[in-house]
This record gives sequence, C-alpha cells and structure tokens, in this order.
Amino acid sequence: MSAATTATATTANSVAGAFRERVREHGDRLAVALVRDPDDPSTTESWTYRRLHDEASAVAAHLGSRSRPGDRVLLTYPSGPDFAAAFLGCLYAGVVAVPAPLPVRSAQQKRRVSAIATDAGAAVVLAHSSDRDVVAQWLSDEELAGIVPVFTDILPPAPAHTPAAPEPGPESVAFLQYTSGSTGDAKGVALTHDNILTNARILFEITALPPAEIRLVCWLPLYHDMGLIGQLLSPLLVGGTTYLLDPATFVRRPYSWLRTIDRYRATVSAAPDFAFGLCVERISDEDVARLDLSSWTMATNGADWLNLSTMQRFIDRFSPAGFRAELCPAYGLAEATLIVASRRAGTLRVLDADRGALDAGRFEPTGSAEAAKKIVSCGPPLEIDLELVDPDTLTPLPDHQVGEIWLRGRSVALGYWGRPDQTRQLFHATTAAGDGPYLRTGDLGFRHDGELYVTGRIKEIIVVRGLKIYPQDIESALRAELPDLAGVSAAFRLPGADDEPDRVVLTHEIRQVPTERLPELAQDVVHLVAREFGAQVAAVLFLRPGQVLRTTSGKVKRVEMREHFLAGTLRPIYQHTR
Amino acid sequence: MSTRNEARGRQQVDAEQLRGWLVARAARYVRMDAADVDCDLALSQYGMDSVSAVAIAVDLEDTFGVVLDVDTLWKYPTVNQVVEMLLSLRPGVRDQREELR
Repeated sequence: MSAATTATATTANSVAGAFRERVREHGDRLAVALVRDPDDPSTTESWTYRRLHDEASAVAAHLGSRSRPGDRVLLTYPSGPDFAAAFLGCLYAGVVAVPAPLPVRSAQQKRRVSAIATDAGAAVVLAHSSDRDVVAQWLSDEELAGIVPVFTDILPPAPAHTPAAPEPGPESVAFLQYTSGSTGDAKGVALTHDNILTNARILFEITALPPAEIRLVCWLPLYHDMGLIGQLLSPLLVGGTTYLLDPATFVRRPYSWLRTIDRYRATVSAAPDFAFGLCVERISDEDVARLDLSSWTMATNGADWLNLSTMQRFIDRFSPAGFRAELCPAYGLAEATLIVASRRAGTLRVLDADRGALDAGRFEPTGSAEAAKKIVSCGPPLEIDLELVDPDTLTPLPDHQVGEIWLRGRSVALGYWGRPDQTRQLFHATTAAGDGPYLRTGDLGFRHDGELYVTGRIKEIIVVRGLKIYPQDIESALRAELPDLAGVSAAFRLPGADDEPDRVVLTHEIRQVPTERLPELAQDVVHLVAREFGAQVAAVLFLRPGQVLRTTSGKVKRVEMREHFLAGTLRPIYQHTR
Repeated sequence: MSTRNEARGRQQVDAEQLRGWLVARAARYVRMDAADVDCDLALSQYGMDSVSAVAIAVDLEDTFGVVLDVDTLWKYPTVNQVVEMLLSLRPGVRDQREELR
C-alpha cells in the first residue's frame, strides 16, 4: 500500500493542481468514460486525462472572462465526461462549483434545483447543449431569469496562453455539496481543497492498488457525494479511470453495472445496499452465466444500512461468476467530505448485540439468537478523531456506550454555505468539558475494539436507497399537490425492523373534507410519496385541527408525534395503514 | 360478422392474458400474492416505488417489444390502465401474443 501511495505523492495544495500533475504524468491514460451499453463498447465515450484537461481549460477560459474567483456556478448534467470537464473547469477558473441534478422529471426535483441555485447565489448554470430546452424551461418556469446558461460542450478551445487563475489556498472553498437540508432549507456543505485532497488520499489508500489499476465503475448520480467524490474525483486525483453509467441505465437493467465491471476489468465499485439486492433479484440466470467478475477486488457498501442477508445472497448468486471482491462497509457523510470509517476484508465483522441493552444505550454481547441484533462493523475511523458523545449531557462516552458520533479532523468541512448559525451549532460543537470544535453528525453508534458500529440516528431524516429525504419536503409537497391537505402536517420516519428500509408515517390535520373522501385522499398521499420521493408509507392518519403537536413558535413536533403514534394515543378521524 | 366476433374474442383473450401477466409481474416486485391485486387500484398502494415502476416498464418492453417512457407506470397507475394503454398499441402487442403463453 505504501509503495502505491508514494508513487503518486502529490505536492499540490489544490484539487486543480493535483489533477494537472496527473495530466503531466500520463496525459494519454483514460480518465473518464461514459458507458451507454456495456454489450456494445463502440457506444462508450472515452476521454484521456489530456482531453479532459483541454475541455476543462475551455470551460475555465470562458468562466475566466465572465466570473470572478469565488463566484458560484451551478452544474446540471447527466452523468458523463462533460460534467467532469465542467467541474474541473470551475476549479481551474477558481470559481465554486455547485453540482445539482438536472431539473427534470418531478416537480420536487425542479424545486430542489431552484432552491440550490438560490441558496448558493449562482449567477451561471453550466449544462450540456442537448439539455438546452430543459434548462431554458426550468429557468423560465421558476422565474430564475438572472441565471445565465452556458453550454460547455460547444465552447471554443481555450486560447493557447490563457492566464491561470491564482492558486487557491488549501483552506479555501473548492465546491459546495448540496445533499443536506430540506428543499425549503437547502444547505450546501462547503468543502475545501484540503478536505478533498485528504479524503481522496484516504480512499486511495483503502484500495491498496497502484493508480494504473484503479478502474472504477460508478452509476451513482454525480451530484451525490458517494458518486462525485468517491468514484469520480478521487480516482482522477490519483490517476485512476472511472467508467460512468447513467443511474437510469442501472435501474433499468442492473445487469449493466456488473457487465461494465466485467467488460472493463474494473477493480473497484461502490453502491448503497439496495443495489446489491436489485442485482440478485433482477439479473437472469443466463446473464449471470455470461458474467466474469473476477477483476473486482473491492466492493464498497455505504450510504445506507448494510443488509447482511442481501450481501450473503449477492455472494451466493455471483460467486459462480467469479465474484470474490472484498467487502467494504463504510460510514461517512457529506459534512465530513465523504469517508469517515471503513473496514475492508474478505468477511464482515458482525456483533450479536443484546437488543434490550442496545435500547438502553449500550452494547452487550449475547449468545441468544433471539435476543440478538446483528450489527456490522464500519471499521476504524480513518485519520479523524471520533468520539461517541451523550447528546443530552454532551459528555464523551466509553467503549460500548451508544452515543452521537462527533468528528474532528481534516476531512470535516468548513460548514454550511452562508449559514453561520447552523455552522456553529453543528460544526463547532464542544463537549461539556469545553473540548472541541467537533462536527455533530446526528448519527448514533458505539465503539468496540477500535471499530465503529452505527446503530441509528437522532436527526429527523428518512433514508431511502442511500438518499436522504426530509420530512419537511414531504409535508410541503402534500400541501402543494393536494388541495384538501392545506392544513398542518407532520411526517416522520418509522425505522424499519432490523435491516428493513425506513418507512414514512403521515399525520395531517383535515378541515372540511367529507369523511367519505378520506380513504381516497389517503391513497393519493401514498401514491404521491411513492412517486415523488420513492418512499414507502406505513400509515396515513387524518387528524382534527390542533392534533398535530407543535411548539409555541409553530414548529411541528415530529419526534413527539412518532411517540404518540407508536403508543397508539393519536385519535385520528381516519387511519389508513399498510 | 363472424370475423368481427372472432376479432373481438381474440382481443378479449389478449386483455385477460395481459392482465394476468402484469398482475403476476407486479405482485412479484411488490412481494405480495397476485390474487390480492385489485386491477383498478394504483400499484403504488401495494408498495410500487420508482425503482419497481421502472422494472415493470422494462419487463413490458422486453416482453412486448414496445418502447415505453420511464414514467409509464405513473401515467397509467393501475393494472387495467396499463392493459388499456398496451391494447391501444395493439398490433405490436398482438405480435407478441405467444410470449404470454
């Protein structure tokens, strides 16, 4: 591992500087490819490091004449090399890239992109010319006339002597990662050059491969930290190659993911747990028989709970196809760049924890299968101080005690863009003894034998297939889409039993809606939440005005509503349970 | 006259076979018993989500040789609505009748 590391010991202090070093070292190496159909490689679009550098330089030359260093620029692209060029072009020009989804499909997604653009104060949006109509429509629908679209694939090449932007300091902001906060309260994590270089190096060391053998396959969206940092940016900074698939290609045919690994002899690929399950369920025996997965050495499972039975079924199903990659459960979050802890090995480390003890806030091993909850180790923290802290008393806890995960180190981001109060609260926390500053993650876990075991979370978010859903967004979408649901609403998470995914419960105050309409209205709620958020609704409860609890300042009390729901003390006018 | 009746009869069979196929497929993705699927209720009520909606659309494409939008199962949310939509593309669907057997 150390030999591989020293082979690319980077001296650069900036992300652009590190990438330029790789271009100088091996301009002809393949940097990034878009795989449209892994069974037909002639449709794959491949760019070398040199080509990517040239395209990024063209973007930078354009931005250099129209933006000032530090300006925010929105990037809305489908997966592909053009996104990589636009992202690096922003870094070359010293402007702050703000990756976002394409404003298509659902109303929710369009609102989200608008909220990101507004919060970041972006004056320019970069996109591919084939999305010209989509972008124009969005800008006009959302009345964002101040934002200028630029289509980067049709820009002229950079003039031969473009003056380089001044080299940014390692602590300056490189880009904003908008995966946190509801749409009404979108929060951009401000990542510095040092954050990214540090996390990229950590990820590189886990792979334990020489750069020329780092071949990744990524179908995760590139506006998501696990896609962008984990599988595009990190390999580019150390000299690897990334094969991109559109997320829709994977969802349509999960076979495309594994076939791309096979076809391009990929060594590394990461995905949330559900993806491994989809492969088991939706790849036919004939297709399994055609696969050769023997090149795959590291399979990372992150962004969601790791389901032990899914992983076992995946191994059983694909071992005959040569699958023998080491499994790599990981814990991380955008607020700490990406990776916090990880453990790589042929077998997972699993504890049988006594459920009763765990509910009381501590780990105790049990020999009884009935009393046991199986918990998978996420491995040791990587170059980061990790404390488990009692979230009420703010006291650090000893091993085996369940507490909130607090972090301090070079991977921890600067804070939320333009939000000093929330940054202070979450990124500058101190313990009761005054020790700090720490990042409060809102996640719960304990430490055992030097490794992190994640057990749950305090924060009110719902995770579906590795993506965070905010209850506020569900509540406001219901109000916006269903006229009968104009009243106060509290959506909350119902944690799944064991490895099952989270589900959602909706409690909604109803006024002047005829009782006979309520069953249909409840079905509309289930349909809307599935369509717009992809989440499963466990129950819909229609309540009388005043029954959704709120604080004196009017904030709905989701935690209390969940407690009442679980205790059966709500008295709904109508309840729909699934 | 008899030709028309015959044609109508065949269409009837098509619709029933299609419905049966779709119910079985949807039931598999949402992990429930096919006998419990109400063909006039939106499949989202049984737990169909964005990922299984795409899976069903892809299976329809593969089986019937049609090209469908990824949003098909949201535009036609019940089994009967999907069947009706497919029958409106009838020549293509009819050609694939053997697939249903």
